Amino acid sequence: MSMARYVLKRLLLVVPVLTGVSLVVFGLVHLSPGGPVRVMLGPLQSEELVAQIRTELGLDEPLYVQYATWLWDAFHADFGTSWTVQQGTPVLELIAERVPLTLELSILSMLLALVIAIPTGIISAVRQDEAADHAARIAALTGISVPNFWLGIILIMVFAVQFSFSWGTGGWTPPWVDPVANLQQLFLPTIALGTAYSALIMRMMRSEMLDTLNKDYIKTARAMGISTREVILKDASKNALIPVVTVIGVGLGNLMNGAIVTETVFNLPGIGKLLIIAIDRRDFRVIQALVLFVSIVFVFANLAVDVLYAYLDPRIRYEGRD
Amino acid sequence: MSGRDRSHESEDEPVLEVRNLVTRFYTEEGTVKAADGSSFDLYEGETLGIVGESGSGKSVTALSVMQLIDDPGRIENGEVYYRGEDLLAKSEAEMRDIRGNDIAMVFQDPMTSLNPVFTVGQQIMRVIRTHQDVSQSEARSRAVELMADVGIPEPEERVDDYPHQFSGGMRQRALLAMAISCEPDLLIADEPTTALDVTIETQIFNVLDDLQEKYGMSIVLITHDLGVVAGTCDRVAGEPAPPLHSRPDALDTPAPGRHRPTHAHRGGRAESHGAPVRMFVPSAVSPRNRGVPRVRPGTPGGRTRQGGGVHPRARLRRVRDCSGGVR
Repeated sequence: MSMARYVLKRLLLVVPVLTGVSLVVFGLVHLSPGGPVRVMLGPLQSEELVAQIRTELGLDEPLYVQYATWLWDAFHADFGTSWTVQQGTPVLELIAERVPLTLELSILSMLLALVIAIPTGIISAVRQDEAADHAARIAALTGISVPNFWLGIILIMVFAVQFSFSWGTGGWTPPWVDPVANLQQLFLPTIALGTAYSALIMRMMRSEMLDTLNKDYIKTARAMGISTREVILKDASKNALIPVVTVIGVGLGNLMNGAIVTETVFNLPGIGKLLIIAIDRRDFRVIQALVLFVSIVFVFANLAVDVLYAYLDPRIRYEGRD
Repeated sequence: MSGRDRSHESEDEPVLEVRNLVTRFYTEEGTVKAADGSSFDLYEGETLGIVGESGSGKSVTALSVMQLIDDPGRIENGEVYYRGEDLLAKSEAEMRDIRGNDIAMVFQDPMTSLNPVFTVGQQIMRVIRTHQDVSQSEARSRAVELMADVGIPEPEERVDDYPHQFSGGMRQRALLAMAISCEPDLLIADEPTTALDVTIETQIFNVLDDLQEKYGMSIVLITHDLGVVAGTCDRVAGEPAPPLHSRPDALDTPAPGRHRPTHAHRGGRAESHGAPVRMFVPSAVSPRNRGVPRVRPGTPGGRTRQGGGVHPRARLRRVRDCSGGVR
């Protein structure tokens, strides 16, 4: 009951956030010097051609009319057709065929990050200042310091070039076509993208666990004869995870950013690669739609985090009750 | 071990015997002698007060009995016997069976001693199911019963509440319910009311009294408040302090009336107990090792003292009359 109300409350808050996001996304393109068409055509084309295309694209209308039209169309999942990336193809189609790859890469990277980070963080905290802790912390510091595109290039050089390892060297087969080939192709990109986040989450998990393990309720649980294992895995972990979930949520949004670079390095046809091409060719409709898409993913990732928060922490769930 | 069968035990055998317990913490700043030679006995069904100022090692002594001393702490010396069994020789697994089952402990701050992400009922039920082979529903009805025992109103509903929905006093009651859930022989209460206001304090001590009567357990009450001791305990032990000669101010006897060890509300409680308070200073603060005047059992007007063994802030001071406020 209260959980449903909480989710509803959070959902309502999404509306103003998305309105703001849409304004910024729409405004960004129109803030470009000379307007989007001049940027697209370059300085050499005549004013007449620019004016003609402006009219064609409806860019000569007042801004609020343009915004309303764009928003209305966006609501109907109509982002127009691409101008320079693939002329005449609906933007939605361009994005839709690339989203599964980017989502898959982001989710796999996040899963890899969590699988590495949560246990390592817990072990590191429980074995504070022992060899395992030092090793984990050095690895984490390295993971945070190394940019993922550099790691990607190194992985390609070592595995693909030196050992003629054929995995993860470009192309993408959807998992519903060939799951094995799919996982092979995403193997190296996932490592490149996932390790940096695992380092971030591991450090957070470690410090939260250290903090939680010193809490009085841990002492109480132990004084009642609860086993150390259960105290660590149940009492401490659930509390320590609450702040870590924030990092995971922000990380999921960041993974989309990371995917842009990683997709370029590994030559994967995801939305990151599409964005790079669209920026390169000044295809503002594609850019607008992509930025909006990434923002929506960000907003909903954070919504998911808030709901997860409420699940983990009853103090949030019951806020405002009574 | 259960230790429940007491028929064969002689009345004089203590439930808990602590001899010369020394626990030290080896920190980077140096060694802290947290508990420095504590000794006391606890007999069947009685309440023993352990008094001492902040930092004198009361809590560490209790945690050492429970073997809950973590790094960098170490129990260096001494003996702890529970019903004749050497607790310091027990393995962690054996100690787990004892903790919560035979010896339970409640801590100072009820606000932080319950896990915020589990319901109060879940936390009580877990202790029951850790030590007893009962079903979830049996454990639940037992938890409700226990919550009623400690005076939590509407226990059937509140069993599903989270700790943050409980007030401080209610949380301490819930912790007491958890502590007595397996009917331990011995309850160690480490300043159970320090974080609570005085009216709640009285209620908690009434609950402790009732529980002791109902379950017949022995209680070690750790406190820095002699008034609490006077109102609640059968006997009192003091944490040892540094030798007197190192503390030039130690022999200054406070002027009469300067020390007011009790509050009026506790005086009333002590009377309701019916029995006069017996003061007893165990060997740890005997004249031999610390130069403190010995107090004979049963002598009101005897002298004990509060004394911090560690913290320089703890001012050593002799108390003329521990039961002075009780009357």
